[in-house]
Amino acid sequence: MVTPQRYCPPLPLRSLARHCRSAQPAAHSLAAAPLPSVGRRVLIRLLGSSPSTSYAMSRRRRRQRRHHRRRVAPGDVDRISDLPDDLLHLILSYVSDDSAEVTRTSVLSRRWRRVWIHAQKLCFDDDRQSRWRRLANFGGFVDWAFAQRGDADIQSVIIFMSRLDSATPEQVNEWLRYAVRRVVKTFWFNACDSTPIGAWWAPPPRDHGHQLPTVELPSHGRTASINLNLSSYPFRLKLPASPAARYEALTDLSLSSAWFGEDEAVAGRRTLGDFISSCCPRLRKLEIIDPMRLPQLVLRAEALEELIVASTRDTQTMDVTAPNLRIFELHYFNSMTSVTSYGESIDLVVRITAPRLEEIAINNSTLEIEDNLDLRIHGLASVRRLKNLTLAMHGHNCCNTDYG
Amino acid sequence: MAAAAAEATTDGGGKMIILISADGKRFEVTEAVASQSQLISNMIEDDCTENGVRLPNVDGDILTMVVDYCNMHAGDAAAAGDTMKASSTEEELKKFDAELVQALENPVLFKLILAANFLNIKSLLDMTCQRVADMMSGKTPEQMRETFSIENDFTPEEEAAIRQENAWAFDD
Repeated sequence: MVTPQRYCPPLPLRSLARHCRSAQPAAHSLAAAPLPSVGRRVLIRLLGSSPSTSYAMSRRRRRQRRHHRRRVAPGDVDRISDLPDDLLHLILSYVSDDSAEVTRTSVLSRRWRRVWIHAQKLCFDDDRQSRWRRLANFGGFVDWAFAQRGDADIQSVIIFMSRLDSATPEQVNEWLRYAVRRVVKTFWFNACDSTPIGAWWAPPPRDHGHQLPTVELPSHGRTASINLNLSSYPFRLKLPASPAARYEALTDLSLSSAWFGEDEAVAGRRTLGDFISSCCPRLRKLEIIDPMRLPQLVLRAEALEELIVASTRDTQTMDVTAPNLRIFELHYFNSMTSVTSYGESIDLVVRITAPRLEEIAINNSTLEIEDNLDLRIHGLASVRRLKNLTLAMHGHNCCNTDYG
Repeated sequence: MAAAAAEATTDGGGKMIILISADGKRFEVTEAVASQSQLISNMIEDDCTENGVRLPNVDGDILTMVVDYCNMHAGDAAAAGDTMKASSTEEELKKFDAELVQALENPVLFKLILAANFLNIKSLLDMTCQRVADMMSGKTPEQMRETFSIENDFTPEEEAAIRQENAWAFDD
């Protein structure tokens, strides 16, 4: 059992932090409101009561303090620092995706020290430093930043973790719990080794899935878009078992390189298909890439419009009923065990009932004579586009065709 | 009254309203132009623009820019029905926006941000905030301080401690 690393700011900072908290504007409450609240704030101002009274007071205090200090350039006035926090957050949301740039604003001045923490988009990337340098406690830093935000909502959080030792599985689980509670728009966790160490030549663990670290999806979430890429060293993905589990706001879900372990029957466990069918009523787009130990996928998804399945290893059956499905894509399916049907060797049996299906793309560059796809779609009436069909038909390969 | 106003609006947004800046300058604009400000749009809806709209925290020179911007963009909205006209307008608009934003320097830029925020004109607020973000992008903290005249009020020890606290983000 690994104990989670705790991030502890260096000692001098603690007193500094205390000092700054008293001097900082009380605009964090504004920061907690999502951006469209601009109108409300404007109305408050119109009514004559300034929401930033404490902010103005702290500005005065700062100016008094500043009085004793040397100015950067006489004549030039620092106007950006006088903007309220929520406008600074709006500005920071437009700064490039390298959010280290956003974090670096912490060092500009006391005013800026904690502004970045309350930005509406945070991106943490453990690979942005020189590869040969060990990152000083990346996981602890992310923990600390989330703790600083407290209960405030955030629009999006992106975490790139290229090294497994950047965080413990406990920390990853804690981030996931934080994300589904507080992230409103997008949560993207990418545990992908950018250098292909192990990713290419090491075979994925097949028989020792129980020893893999587990990532557990909490029972309730309010995030609209979740993207978990657990590749290079797969995590077991544990889906919520609670019958009340609900992801009411989830519209986009992408799961890459997750180990589902559904080849073993476990009493009371919820399969991926069950989870999507019963817990995600608004799911519009589902991507399942490189799933491990997912022998069958049975979906009944009312709102689903787009389904993309790629790089299957051991999936044998897909049974999808989706009355609103428009797009279905299947790429690089590869089955280890064939099932026999109608006297033929069939690797993947796909049954789709989707009366509104418009686009089908099927692509399998590794297709060989003995690989077979048994595809049955009910309701082809509205299909208007077939893309990248690479299918063995009558013994001939039809490559890179695009009809419609 | 409400019916008459509705009639005037359908007739090319003809009804005029008066905006009054902090320094007393008056701007006469059509409702269609002014409605791009969510704040004023709400006031029009509530029928309280009869005696002009006082904007106590927007200076005349800034309000001139805001009104120019709104005039330009209201034209676009009106021409949206005509595809040919709309596409050329779109190009003109892009040029107008790009020139406006490029011309903005430190004090005016931040006054315009505050005005766009106060008046709640989302497109103008986004555009001006994007401009500031572009001015920050790719800069070291030292360069950012210089760009925006931010005074470093940390002691060297404090600054070093913060760099260590956020070591992840700093290359040194």
